[in-house]
Amino acid sequence: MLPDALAPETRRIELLLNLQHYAEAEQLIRIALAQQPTHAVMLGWLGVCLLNQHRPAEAIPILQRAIGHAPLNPQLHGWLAESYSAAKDFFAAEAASREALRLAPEQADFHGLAGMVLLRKHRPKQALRAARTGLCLDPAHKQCLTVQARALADLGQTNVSAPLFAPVLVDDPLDAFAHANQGFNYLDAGNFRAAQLHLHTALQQQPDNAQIRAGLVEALKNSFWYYRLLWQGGRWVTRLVRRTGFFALEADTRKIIAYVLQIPLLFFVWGWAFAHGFFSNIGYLSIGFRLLLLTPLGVIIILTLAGALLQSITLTLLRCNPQARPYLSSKEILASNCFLAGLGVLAVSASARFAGLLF
Amino acid sequence: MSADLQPLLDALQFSPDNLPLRQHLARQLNAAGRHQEAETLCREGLRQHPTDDALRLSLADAYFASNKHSAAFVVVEELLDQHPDNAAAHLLHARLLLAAGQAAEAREAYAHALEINPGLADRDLGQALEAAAPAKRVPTPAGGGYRPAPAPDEDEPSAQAKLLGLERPKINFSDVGGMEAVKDEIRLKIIHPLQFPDLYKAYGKASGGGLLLYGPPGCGKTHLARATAGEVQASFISVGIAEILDMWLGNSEKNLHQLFELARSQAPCVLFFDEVDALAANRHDLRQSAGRTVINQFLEELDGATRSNEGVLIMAATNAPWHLDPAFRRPGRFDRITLVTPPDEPARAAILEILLRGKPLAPGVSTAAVAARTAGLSGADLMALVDGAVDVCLRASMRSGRPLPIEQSHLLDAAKLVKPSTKEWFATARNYALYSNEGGLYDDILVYLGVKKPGGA
Repeated sequence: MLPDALAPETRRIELLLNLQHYAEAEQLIRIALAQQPTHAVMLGWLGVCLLNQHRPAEAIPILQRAIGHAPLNPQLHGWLAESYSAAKDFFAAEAASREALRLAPEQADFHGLAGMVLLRKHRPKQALRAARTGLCLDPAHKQCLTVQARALADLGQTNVSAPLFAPVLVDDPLDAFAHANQGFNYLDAGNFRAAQLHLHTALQQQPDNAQIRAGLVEALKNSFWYYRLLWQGGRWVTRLVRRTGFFALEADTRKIIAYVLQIPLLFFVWGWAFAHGFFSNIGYLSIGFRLLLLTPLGVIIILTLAGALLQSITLTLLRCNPQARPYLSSKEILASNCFLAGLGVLAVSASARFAGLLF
Repeated sequence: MSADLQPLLDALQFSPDNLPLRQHLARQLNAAGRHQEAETLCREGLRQHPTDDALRLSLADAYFASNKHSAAFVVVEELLDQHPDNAAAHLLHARLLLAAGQAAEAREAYAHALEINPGLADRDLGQALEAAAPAKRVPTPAGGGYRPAPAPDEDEPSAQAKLLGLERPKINFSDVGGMEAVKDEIRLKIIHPLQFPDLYKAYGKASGGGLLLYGPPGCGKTHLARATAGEVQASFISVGIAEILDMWLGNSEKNLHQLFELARSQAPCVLFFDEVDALAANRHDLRQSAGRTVINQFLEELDGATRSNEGVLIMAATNAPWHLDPAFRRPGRFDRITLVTPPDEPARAAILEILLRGKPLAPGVSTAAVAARTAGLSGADLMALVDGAVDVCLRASMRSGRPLPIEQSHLLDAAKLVKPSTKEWFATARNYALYSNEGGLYDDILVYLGVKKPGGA
């Protein structure tokens, strides 16, 4: 319980948090903390304010301090897990969510949270287990429903996951959360038209949600037949890589491996450049280059490059569509610009060569 | 009694300009306990004779009897400001203060009323005052009696009214630099309908409803609202986030009603709600169902369901119009919505002039040149710019051992360091304008960002 001295201010802060006025709530909380710097709930709320203002790195030490004063408060561990998750430190997030679950195993919220963290660590089986435990406690728990649907999709059971949110939409036809999840489910199931409709409705309700926008762009890209092939291929590769346990590694380790894997790509590009006499006329390298093409690694590299090229083409085509253009991010526009610039360079060099032949 | 008054009411209907008859009838209606009718009668009369003391006193009486204490306070205190020797007003003031639990002040007011007119002695009131607080004599310069309440400055609203956020702005649109487009829009949307109601009616345009100003923080929405009040020489009531929170926590519906009553009693009046999204939040998003009753009350007051909002300009400001309950945007409520963008070049030059006023400036400092290099900066950002320039100048002064004036280069260097704080807001606003722009509500944002041509599809 909060001490009487803080009670009226506490109600104001609760109200501001409820109204999502996090900046104003933060100010009041800091004033209250000046009187009682060790107040665990106030510290926790400060963490929530910082987290909701996209400042998870600042929220983490505050929540750790709060936990130091009230180590048995499961909510504080939950907020810490959310902050770690927002800061993309999924190992620490998993540890914090486990602690919250240990302290309050009867709360579906923490099962949903644990499931979400496990999903982000690419461990869908464990995430599904956590979600189902949470749904036993609260069958309508939105986060648990989401985790369940996403985990099933990741496990390839898209037919099971797709209709999971239909009952929620019957109750509230404008529920952005349910529309977004339903959209992603349809995306995973390959029903791109339905995915577009649901994600579009979700984006109307939550225009600032980058994940929904990205999902909608993905659904729009899949209206091109060749992109659908690329999409299926990409999903197949993701599942393959998941089986290797690559995604379960720590973020830093994954980064190092990804950099190391890029080295052959570098060799490939250099080989291609040498083979075509970009740097010299050492023609014998072209033999090595041709041999490299025959290896599985060479095939993967070519497919990756082809994929990147198709991505750029698709983005450029979407850009030409006035209905789809507003949904592209600045990065996607940049990728399209780079592609167009490359195309321009090729066109100029081809014209120059053609002119050379003529004259 | 009501039958006795009917001939008088008929007579007044026949000759509504008969002031003595109206004054008499108002007193009689109050005496007969028909306070609502008395109130209407007084308000109609005050439109023609806004300074008539008898009508104002009867109006205050009617408010007091109907438990509209805040409104009564405002009327009585204004009356006392102008006529500190009005004994009846002092008597009513005493009653109001006693009802508000300010027994000591009530005693003073009662004593002052008796000092002016001993015939006003009221035994019940006297006993109530005795019971409420022990007598406390305050020596006057003359040495005896009770000291009358000091008459406040005539232009300043009373303390009670100030508590309720009432003020009389001394600024108008000429004090708002630049922003001509926004000012024109305000003129067209709310000032002209108030000034030329018949013309608007002739064209079938409704003159009621409110105006919602939205835009990034620190761009002068409150300043514009205050200037609007000054422009129409109206009273101004500003309700900030703190008052809104109090409304949620305390007697929410009653507080809100009193606020609207105060605005109606002060008509013409601009009632301004800052950060209105805290009061008009989307009911779908609210976790507490208790808050919905406040929203419903707000909607009722906006509609003028219980009392007409004639002469009350309702303005509101928000940084997040998308969080407002859609019900607030229906006709007659905040159906007119205006984007307040960061200050344009003339406005920035004007703001810089104000910020640099009183500071030592080198000859040749041109605020216009600085304004030209600070596109996108808000008023708050410009303040940071001037602070930065002053800091640099102070450091240079410390080093040289003599005070140096602020140079143009100091301002231009500081301008390079200040990043527009409105950028983040526009990133969010752009998404809402692109993906959730029902009926082109946020088209102004797209036009400002250059995504859409003005008036284009």
